[in-house]
Amino acid sequence: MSETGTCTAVLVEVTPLPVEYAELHCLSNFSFLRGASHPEELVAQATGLGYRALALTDECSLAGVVRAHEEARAQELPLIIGSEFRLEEGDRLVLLATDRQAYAELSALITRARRAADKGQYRLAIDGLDNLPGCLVLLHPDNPQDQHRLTRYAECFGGRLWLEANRLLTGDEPHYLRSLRAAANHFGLPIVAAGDVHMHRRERQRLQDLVTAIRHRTTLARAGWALYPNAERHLRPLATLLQIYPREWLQQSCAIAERCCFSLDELRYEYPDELVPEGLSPAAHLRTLTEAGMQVRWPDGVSRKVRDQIEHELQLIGELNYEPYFLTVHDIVRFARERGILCQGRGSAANSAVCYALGITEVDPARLSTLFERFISKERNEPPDIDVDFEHQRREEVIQYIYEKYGRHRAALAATVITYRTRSALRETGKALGFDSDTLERLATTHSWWDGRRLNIQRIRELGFDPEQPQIRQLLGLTTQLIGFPRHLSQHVGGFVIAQKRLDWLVPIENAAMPERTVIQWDKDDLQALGLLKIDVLALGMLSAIRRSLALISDYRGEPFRLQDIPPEDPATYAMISKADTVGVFQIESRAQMTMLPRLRPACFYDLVIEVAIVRPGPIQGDMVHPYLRRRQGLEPVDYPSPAVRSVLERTLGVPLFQEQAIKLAMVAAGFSAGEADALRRAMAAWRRRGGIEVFQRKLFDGMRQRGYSEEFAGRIFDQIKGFSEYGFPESHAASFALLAYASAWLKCHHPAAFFCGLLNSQPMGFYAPAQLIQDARRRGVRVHPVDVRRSNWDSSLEPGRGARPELRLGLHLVNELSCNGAARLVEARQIKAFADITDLSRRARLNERDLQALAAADALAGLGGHRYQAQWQVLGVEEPTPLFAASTEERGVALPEPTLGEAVCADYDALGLSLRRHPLQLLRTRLRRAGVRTAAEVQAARDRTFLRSAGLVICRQRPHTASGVMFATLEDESGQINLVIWPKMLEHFRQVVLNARLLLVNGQVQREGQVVHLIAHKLEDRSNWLGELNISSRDFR
Amino acid sequence: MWNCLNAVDAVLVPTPVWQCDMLWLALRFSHLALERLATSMQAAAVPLVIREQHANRQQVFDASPVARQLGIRRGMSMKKAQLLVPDLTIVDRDMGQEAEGLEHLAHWAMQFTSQVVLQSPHGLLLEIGASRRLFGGVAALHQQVITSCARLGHSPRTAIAPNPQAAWWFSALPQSLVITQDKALYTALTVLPLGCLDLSDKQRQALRRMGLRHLGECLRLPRAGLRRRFGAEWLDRLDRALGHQPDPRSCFQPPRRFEARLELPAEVDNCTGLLFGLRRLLQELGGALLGADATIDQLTLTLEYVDIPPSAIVLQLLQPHRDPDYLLELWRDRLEREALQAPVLGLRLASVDFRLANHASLGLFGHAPGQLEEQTLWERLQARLGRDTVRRLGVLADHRPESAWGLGESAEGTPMGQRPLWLLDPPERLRQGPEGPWRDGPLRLEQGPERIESGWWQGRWVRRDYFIATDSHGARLWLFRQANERDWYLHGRFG
Repeated sequence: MSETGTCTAVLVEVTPLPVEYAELHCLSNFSFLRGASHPEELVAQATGLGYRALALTDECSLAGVVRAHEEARAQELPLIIGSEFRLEEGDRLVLLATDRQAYAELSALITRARRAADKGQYRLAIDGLDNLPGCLVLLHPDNPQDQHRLTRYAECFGGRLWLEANRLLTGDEPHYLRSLRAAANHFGLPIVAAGDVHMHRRERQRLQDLVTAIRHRTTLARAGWALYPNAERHLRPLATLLQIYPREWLQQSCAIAERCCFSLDELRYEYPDELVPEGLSPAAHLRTLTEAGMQVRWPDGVSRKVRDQIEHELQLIGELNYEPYFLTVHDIVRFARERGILCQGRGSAANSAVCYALGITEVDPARLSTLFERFISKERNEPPDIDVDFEHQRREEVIQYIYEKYGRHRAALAATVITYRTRSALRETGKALGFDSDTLERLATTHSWWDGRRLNIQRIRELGFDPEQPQIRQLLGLTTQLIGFPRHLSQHVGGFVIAQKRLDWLVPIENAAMPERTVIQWDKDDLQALGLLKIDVLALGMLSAIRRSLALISDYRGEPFRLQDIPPEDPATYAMISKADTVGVFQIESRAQMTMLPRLRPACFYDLVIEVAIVRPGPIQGDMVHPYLRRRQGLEPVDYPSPAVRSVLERTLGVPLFQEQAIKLAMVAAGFSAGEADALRRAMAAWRRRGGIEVFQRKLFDGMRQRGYSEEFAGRIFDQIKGFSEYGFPESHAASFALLAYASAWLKCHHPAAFFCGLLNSQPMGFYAPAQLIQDARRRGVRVHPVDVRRSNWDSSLEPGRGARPELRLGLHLVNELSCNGAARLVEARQIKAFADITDLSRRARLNERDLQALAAADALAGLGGHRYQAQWQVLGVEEPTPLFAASTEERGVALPEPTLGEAVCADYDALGLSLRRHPLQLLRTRLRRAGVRTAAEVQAARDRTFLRSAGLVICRQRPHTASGVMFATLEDESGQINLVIWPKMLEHFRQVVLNARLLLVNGQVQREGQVVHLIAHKLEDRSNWLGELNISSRDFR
Repeated sequence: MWNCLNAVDAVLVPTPVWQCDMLWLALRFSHLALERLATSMQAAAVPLVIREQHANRQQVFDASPVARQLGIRRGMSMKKAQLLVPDLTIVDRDMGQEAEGLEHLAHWAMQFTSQVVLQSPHGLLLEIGASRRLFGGVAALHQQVITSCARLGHSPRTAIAPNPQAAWWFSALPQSLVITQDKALYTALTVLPLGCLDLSDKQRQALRRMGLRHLGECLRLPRAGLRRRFGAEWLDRLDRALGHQPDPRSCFQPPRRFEARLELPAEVDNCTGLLFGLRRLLQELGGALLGADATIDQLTLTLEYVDIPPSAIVLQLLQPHRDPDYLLELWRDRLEREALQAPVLGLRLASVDFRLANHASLGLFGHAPGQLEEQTLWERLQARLGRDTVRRLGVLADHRPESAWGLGESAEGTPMGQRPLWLLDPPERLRQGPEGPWRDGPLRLEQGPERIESGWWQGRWVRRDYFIATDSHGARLWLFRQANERDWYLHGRFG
C-alpha cells in the first residue's frame, strides 16, 4: 500500500522486494509493568526476523541494556542504546546514542530526570533537553498540529530530529498520520517508521495486558482504555512492515541505525586517581604501602617464600593495571581502622599476601600455605574480587566516608533488580484476573506447585484446584511468565561503584528508597559483564560482637587486645569446637554445623575452612558430605582418576568442596579453556534464575570421555557443579569466614564472659536468642547477674568477680518495652546519686509509666522496692509531682504476697524472654518424671535405638529445602538441648501440635552416631498448658 | 402560633428500673456471629473462621468447633490459621450484623421479661425478679430461656445474680452460676477470677503483674490505693457488683416510629407554604432520630384538606437518612409535582420503623463530595419522575464494541476510532462477493483495518479487523473479519 491512512483493504499477496528495517523504539520489561518481554528475548527475536539492528529504548532507563548487549553480542545483532521519555508537555521522545559522547549525554540526562523525582519516577520537560549534541531524536508529538512546540524541537535538535510514525492499526491512526505528514512537510522533517514495541511476539499480549492492569492497580475487566486495543506492539515480520509502511520510512530506520555506532564494549572503567600522591605512579605507591605493611606483619623479617609471593602478586597486579583497585580498598580499610571499626576482607583477591600486608585481611597466607590457587587469573581476565565486611552497627560510617571522599557524582551503590517471585507473581496475576484473595492465599501460602522451573500439576490438584479449568490454567500460565520479571530497582547490600570523573557518564544514577541514597541502574551481573569494578562494603554482626568482646578484654586486662593478638592454632579451642560446644560461634553454631563438628573434628585452620564450606546446601545437594567424611575417617580409600584431578582435589581428599575446584576440574578434566570455565562459572551462578547450564553438560561429558574418565565420574562432577550453582562457597570466602569462626571460638573458650557480653550487645544476630546464649554462658561457668536499676547500663556489661573471672551483668536493653531514652536518663541520673527508692528513681530519671512498669515487670526494681508485685503496685501509684499536693501522695504501705518461684520464672520470661532463676522444665520435673519423661542429658547419654520419652521448650523449628520435607526442631530443658527429627508423615499427622506447641512431649527413638544424637519423633503431644499452670501453681516447688 | 400536637415517643426516656427484689439473668453470646452463620450455613461440618482486622493484621475473631478442634484459636493470625488448615472457610466479621443479631435476640427475650438490657456487643441482661413467678420459679425460667435459646441455635453462657453487673461478670465463667441471695454474692465475687471482669488490656496486665488473680485479693487492698491505680469508674463498677450502689440500666426499647401532626396557622394553597410547616415537623423527626441514633428510609405525609378527605404521599429513600434539611429538599421536589386538590389545613408526618444508624458504612470523612452530588441528583430525578423511570446509559471502557456500552456508570474517555451509533446484535454474516463482501451489491472498503484484540480474560476473546465500507446505496457500514477467517460480518451502521 502506498497511502497510509486510507484503505489497505484486503491484504494482497505480494512478492516482497528486499526490505531492510531497524527497530528503533522498543521497550523491554525494564520499563517496569509496560514491556512484556525480557531484553534477551527481544534481541533474539529481532535477529530471527532479520532486522538490521535493534534499539533498546526503555523508558528513562538503561537498566536492561547490558543483558541486551550480551545477547546481541552472542547473536551478532547491532544493538543501539537509547531511551524513551514522556515529557511534562505530553510529547514522547526516543533518544539514541550515536557514540561514546552521546551515550554519556544520554546517561546524564536520565540521571537528571530521575534525580528530580521520587524513587521510580522521573521528570523531564522541553527545557531540560539542551546539551545533547550527540543524540538522534525520534519525536512522537502529542499534537502534530502544535506548530509552536514543533518549532521548539526543530531548533533544539537541528538535523538530528525525525518524526516517528507508528502503524498499530488503531482507529484514530489515520487521522494522526495525516497531521504528522502535514507537520513533516511544513518543517521539512523526515518521518521514520518505528513499532513502539512492548513485546517480542504477539502471544505476549496477554502478559502485556496483565502488567498494564497491575500497573494501574486494577483488574483486567476494569482496566478499560488503559489496555492497548490490539497486539500490534510486537516485533513484526518484515513482510508485514512493508505492507503498512511506505518504503521510504523503513529506509530511514536503517539510515539512523547506520549513524548509531556506539557499543557498550567501548566503556572503560577508570579508577579514581587521587589516592596516589603527586609524582608517584600507582604501582610505586602500592609497593610503598605494601612494604610498610610487611614491616608490621613480619617485624622479624620476611621469609624468602613470602617475599617471592608478594613480588609475584605485585607483578600480576601491575600487568593488569589493578593497582588503583587495591589502593581504593586499602583506603577504605584504613579509614575503618582509624575509626576503630573492625573489618575483614574476603574474596579471591582478599586472601593474597599483598592484601594481608595492606591489612585488608587477617588471613595469613602462610596459614593456608600453597593450598590456594593463584588469587587472580591473568588468562581469565577476571576482575579481582574483594568484599569487605564491617561491623553491622557501624557500616554506615564507612558508606558516608565513601560518599564524602568521592562525592555523590562519582560514587553510588549498585542496584539489585527486584523481580517477581512465585508468591508475588501469583498474587498480582490473580488480583488482575479477578480472583478473590482467599483463593490466592491458599495457593500462595504453599507454593510447592512451582518447583523453580516448572508447574507441578500434581500439587495443584492436591490443593483442591483443577489445573484444567480455564481460569486456573490462565492464572498459572501467566504467573509462570511473570515470575522473573523485574519490578523495581533496589540498592545492593553494599556494592559501591566509584568513578574517576563522573559516574553518570557511565551509567544513570537514580534515587533509592532511603533518603540520601542513590543507586545506579545496573546490578552486579551487569557490572561484571562490562568489566566494571565494584567494592562490596558489607555488614557483619559477628564483627560487632568480636570488637566488643576485644574491647572488654582490653578493659580488664588494662592493655589493648586486638584481633591479631589472638594466638593461632590453639588446641583448647579446637577441642571445644570438636565437642560441638559452639553456641554463639560464627558460622559453626547452627544445628547442622553442630552435628557435623564431632564427625569432622577440626584440628587446624584448614579443617575449619572445610567445615564452613561443607555444611552448605551446595555440597549437601551434590552429595559430597558423606564421601568426604568417610574418607577423612579412613573408612574409604582416597583415590584419584588421574594425576591432574589429584592436583585439584588432593587438599579435599578427592571430593570437590569449593567452587574454585569445580571450575578447575572442568579445565583439567574436560579441557575447558579459561574463558569457557569463566562462562561456566557465571552460568552456575545464574542457572536457577535463567537456566542455560545444559549447554555445558554435553561439553563437559564429551571432554571427560575423551580424556578417559568414566561416564559416572562425569555425571557426578556435573551434578556437583550444579549443586554449587547457588549455594557453593568459594574457598577464599570460606577462609575469611573460618578466620572469624576461629577468633570467636577462641574468645568463647578463653574469655567466655567477654564473648557472651559482646554477643548480647550485638543482638539480633546469629542463631540463638539471649536466653540460649545466657544458658550456654552459665554452663561454661560464667556468673550472670540479673538486670538491676542500681547497676545495669543499657548494654550488658562485665563486673569484677570474686576471683579473677569477670562476671556478666545483664543490661537494660533486654527489658521488653523499656524505651532507650528512658534507660539513658536512668543511667545518667544514677551517676549523680544512687536512687533512694522508686519515687526518687521515677522523678529524677523522669520515667513515664510505661518505662516504670517495664522495669517492675522485669524485676529490675527489686533492689529498691521489694519483689516485682510490690514494685508494680508502687510504680502504678507514682504520680506526676504536683507542688500543691506533694504531701498527699504518700500512702500507707501495702503488703502483696511474694511471687512463687513458678510465677517468678513465668514473669521473667514475659518481661525479658529469659530467667536466671530456674528453667521452667526444672519446675515441672516432678510432674514430668511421673509422666516418664527423660531429660535432654539422659537422651544424650542414651544408647542407639532406645525408645524413650522426653520433653522440652521448642526453641527452633527448621524445614530446610535440602531435607525433602523433614522438619528439625530443637527442644530445650534445664540439662541441655534435644535435636528432634520429624519425618514428613509424622509432620502431617501432628501438624497442629508441631506448629502450636511451646512445650512439646515426644515419644521417639534415639539415633546415635558417635557423639551426634537425634531423637526421631514417633508421637508428639502439646503440653503448653503445663507452662500456664506454673503461673498459678502453689509453692510446692520451692 | 404554630402548634405542635401529638409528638408520640419522639424522645427516648430511660425507663426507671425497680430497685428491690431484682434478679438478673445474664446471657453471654460469645459465639454470636458464628452461631448466626451456623443457622444459615451447614457450618457444623466445615472448619470455618470469622476474620477480623486487628490493627495491621488479620486475625481469627472466632472459630467453629471443627476449626477449634484443628487447633485454631481466637486471636490467632490468619496466616497461621491457614497454615494449620489450608482449606479453611473464611467469613469476614460484620459488626452491623452482629448488632442486628443482638437486637433480634433482645426482641426474643422480651417474652420473658419487660426489662431487657443490651450489653453490647454480645450480651443481654434480663431482669427476672418480676417475672419469675409467672414462669414457675427461677430454675424453671432459667431452663426455659436456655431451651428457647438452643432452638434458635444459640448456646450462651448464663448466670443469675441480684444485680446486673455481677450477673454479667459471672456469665463469663464456664459453668452457670445462680446466686439469689446477697450473702452468697460476696463470697462468689471474692473467688471470681479477674479475667471475668471487663478490663482493658492495660488494667488486666497491671493486675497480673501484681500477682492478683481473684477479685477477693483486690477487695483486700485499700480502696484509695485501688482508685488511684485503676480509676474511680472501675471502683464504681465494683461497688455496683457488690450491691453497695444502685445500678440503673436503660432498657431495650423496640424500634420506634415517628408520628406527629401540625396544624397550619392558616389555609395553605401552595407548595412553599406546605414546606414551611413541613420543615418544622422534619426538625422534630430529626431530633427523635438523633436521640434514638436511628435513620428512616420511608416517610408518609398526609395532607388534611379543608373539605375533602385527606390524602397521603409516600416518599421512599434510596438510603436511610436523618438530616432534616436533606429530607426537606427531597420533599420539595416531590411536592412540586403534586397538585393540591384543595387548601390544606394540617400536615401529618409518619415514619415506618426507625432503623439503627449504620455507622460502619461511613468513612472517616463521610462520602466523597462528588459521590454525594451524584447521589443527590439521582434521588432528585427519581423523586421528580418516579422510581422506575430513571435509568442510566453509559459508555463502558472496553475495546470490544459490543461490551462498550451498558446501563450503568459512564466511563471517562472514549474509544479511539469511529463508532457507529447502531450495533447489530448479533452481527450479520455477509455473503462473499467476487471481490470481497457483498450486501445488495459489492461493498467498497473505505477505511481500515482497525484491529481489535481484547477480552481474552473473560472467554469472550475478540480478534477482528474492522473496516468502514459503503454499499451501493451510499450507506456507511461497519464491517469486520475475524482473525484467520475469510468471512465478513456487518456489525453496525453509521447514521
